[in-house]
This record gives sequence, structure tokens and C-alpha cells, in this order.
Amino acid sequence: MTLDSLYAARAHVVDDETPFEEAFRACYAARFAPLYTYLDRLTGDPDLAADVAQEAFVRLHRRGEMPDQPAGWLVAVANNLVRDERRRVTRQLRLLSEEPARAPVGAPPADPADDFDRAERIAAVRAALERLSLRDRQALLLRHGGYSYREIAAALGLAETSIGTTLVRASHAFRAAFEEMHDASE
Amino acid sequence: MHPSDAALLALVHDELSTGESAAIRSHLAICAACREREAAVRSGEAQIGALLRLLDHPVPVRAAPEARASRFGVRQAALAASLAVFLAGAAAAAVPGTALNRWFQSQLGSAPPTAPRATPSAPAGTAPAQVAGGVAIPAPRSLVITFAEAEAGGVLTVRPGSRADASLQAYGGDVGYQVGDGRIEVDNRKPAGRYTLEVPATLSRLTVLVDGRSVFDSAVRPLAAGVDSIPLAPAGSR
Repeated sequence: MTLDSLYAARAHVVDDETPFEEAFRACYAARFAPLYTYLDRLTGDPDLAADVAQEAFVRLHRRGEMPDQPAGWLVAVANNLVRDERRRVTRQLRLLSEEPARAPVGAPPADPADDFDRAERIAAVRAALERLSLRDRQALLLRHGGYSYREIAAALGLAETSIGTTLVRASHAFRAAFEEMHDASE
Repeated sequence: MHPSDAALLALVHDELSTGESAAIRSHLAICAACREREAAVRSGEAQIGALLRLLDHPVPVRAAPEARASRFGVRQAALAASLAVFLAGAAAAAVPGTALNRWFQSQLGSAPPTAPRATPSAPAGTAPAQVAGGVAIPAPRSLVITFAEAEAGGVLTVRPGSRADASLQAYGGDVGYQVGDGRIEVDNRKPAGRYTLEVPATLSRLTVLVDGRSVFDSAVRPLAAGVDSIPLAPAGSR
């Protein structure tokens, strides 16, 4: 007995989907993990990353039709959500402290002592990312999250032809900053 | 003409047209300096990729948002309700005492949440003291499960599930998960011995790999009706 026949009785529930729902479901299956990973790296906050990724898909679902560039569209929505969340948190901190506060940027977790080197490297990676402009950071993380130049252009509202130079600049800046951070910690 | 840095990077990223990449490759064939540049770009990209992966946490698995009721009314659930996390009970994937561990614990509901933001709660029944860790992926058409290592006496039990998700649970051990599109990778270097996989109606193919070796493929041997058991034993021990 195959899985197909085992479940034939229930298969029609899925066949009943509209084209949008089918496309949405496929998009969710394919794009949730890359979007989450991008946001996790961007924010340093896995909890926030998961919530924002989920919310971006909720908005796509509400939209009721697939955009031309679903991957880029989801990132653009998610970037806005992260920015809004950061503003909200910053505002709250100001209210609490009176002083201009900096939003928490996901300080590296305090790992056990045997993970000390790893924790230091993670801290250096994070600090190096913080040195980049937001746009360069986003472009670098998207590229290393498997997004194509076309998707990055759609996500960041840039011309596709400018992605190459953006990535060259971001890669150089990241490596230079990482080496500086890493050397400083030794 | 020597290619620009951006052109070399685009070559490494496989973002050039066939003509553009052919032109650069034929230049590289005759220019040692540019070959060195290309090699440096390639290794630089690999290094950045490795550094960025240090930041990663396991992908949590959440049910896809869905609002439409089917004609059978089984999907009548409100959008908000569908957002409940099917627990990525990858608590096991976390190192005890790390922020990640605390995060998973807060998802489990067994530790006070440390973040001010509300976190979606796990469905009732997934947070007993001796919880089975597990992951789920939404409605896969085909599913590949990869176990990092063989387990003498280890068994994966497969049975039909009632949800649209495919869900994998480990009982015991200290098991980590990575999930992707139609794929669950199980880091069982601290083995659990017993795993249960619930598969959805929509699944058409299931493949199980242990230490890179295929131990089950529903295209070769169909699953038994009801419950099937797949041993995770080392090669040659059966």
C-alpha cells in the first residue's frame, strides 16, 4: 500500500485549494526558512525573526495574490516590520530611562566556557555587521542567504545593476571590520 | 580587459549571462593575475558564509497561515489561531543555559518568558515535564529525513498523522534539527533511540537517510499500512 492510497480518502481536501492558496503554500514551504535565517542574522533575535517572518506571510496571505517577486516582497515587508519594531522598542526604552537609548541589538549569548572561542567569533561577526550601513548589511545577508541579485534588488528597492557593486563594497567592509574586531579581541 | 571585482563576484555567484561568464572564463584562462583574484573572491565568499552561519539558530517550524474554510469546514480556524506554533521542540538542539535554550524553553512554556514580547504558545499537551522534542514541516509533498549517524537498535516509527504537517518526535537523547523545504536533518550524535514520524495525507514520497546511506525509500518499498518501523542500525548490522 502506498502513502497515496493510504490517504486517498483525504486527498481532495488539498485538491480543493485555489491557485493562490496553492502558490502561497508552496511559497511558504520554500521561503519561510530563508526569510527566517535572514532575519535571525539581521536582528540577532531568533524570537523576533520568527515572529516577523510569520507576520510577513500573514500579510502576503491577506494580500490575496502573489507579487511578481514573492521572495523580494516578503523581505521588503519584513525589513519594514523590523524597523517598526526597533522604533517601538527604542521609544519604550526612552520612556523608561529618560536618556536616549539604543535598541538592543541581540547581544551574543553568554556561552559556556568551552564555547568561548566560538562566542568571541560570534560577537566579532555581529560587531562587524553592525559597522556596515543598513543597506550593505541587508544586501550581504540576503546574498549569503541564497537570494538572487534580482530578489535583492526587489527587496531593497535598488536597481539590479547596482547589486554587484553593493555586494563588493559590503563584502570588503565586512571582512575588514571582522578582522579588526577579531584582532582586537585577541 | 580585466574583469571588475563586481564581475568576478557575479561570476562566483552564478549571476552572469552565459555570454558574460564565457567571456570572463576565457580571460581567466590566459590571465594568471585574474585567476588569483577569482580564487580570492571565491575563498572570501566561503569565509563570509562560514562566519555568518555561526549566527544561525535552528529554523522554528510554524504552521502556514491559512484563512479559507474548506467545503468540509475543517479549516474554519481563524487566522490568528492558525498562527499557533507547532512546537519546534528543538529544545534538544540547544545547549543548556544558552540564550537559545532559554528561548526554546520559553516556547515550551516550561520557563518564564524572558522577552517582554508575547511569544506564541505551544499547543496544549506538548509541554509535559518529560517532553519529546520534535519538529514539524508544513504539508510536504515529498520528505527526506537525514540522520547524521546510525543508531544500533534505533528505530523510526512512521504512522499516518491527522495534521497537514509532517512531524518528527524524538524520545530522549539530545537531538538537534535543521529543517528546510521537504527536508528534516536530525543531528543524533547524542541518540534518542526512538523516533516517531507522523506523515500527512499529501505526502507522496518518503526517503530516510542514515549517515549518508539510504535506509528507506517509499518509491522502492511502499510504507506498510498503519504503522511502519524503519531501523536506524549501522550498515551491515542487519
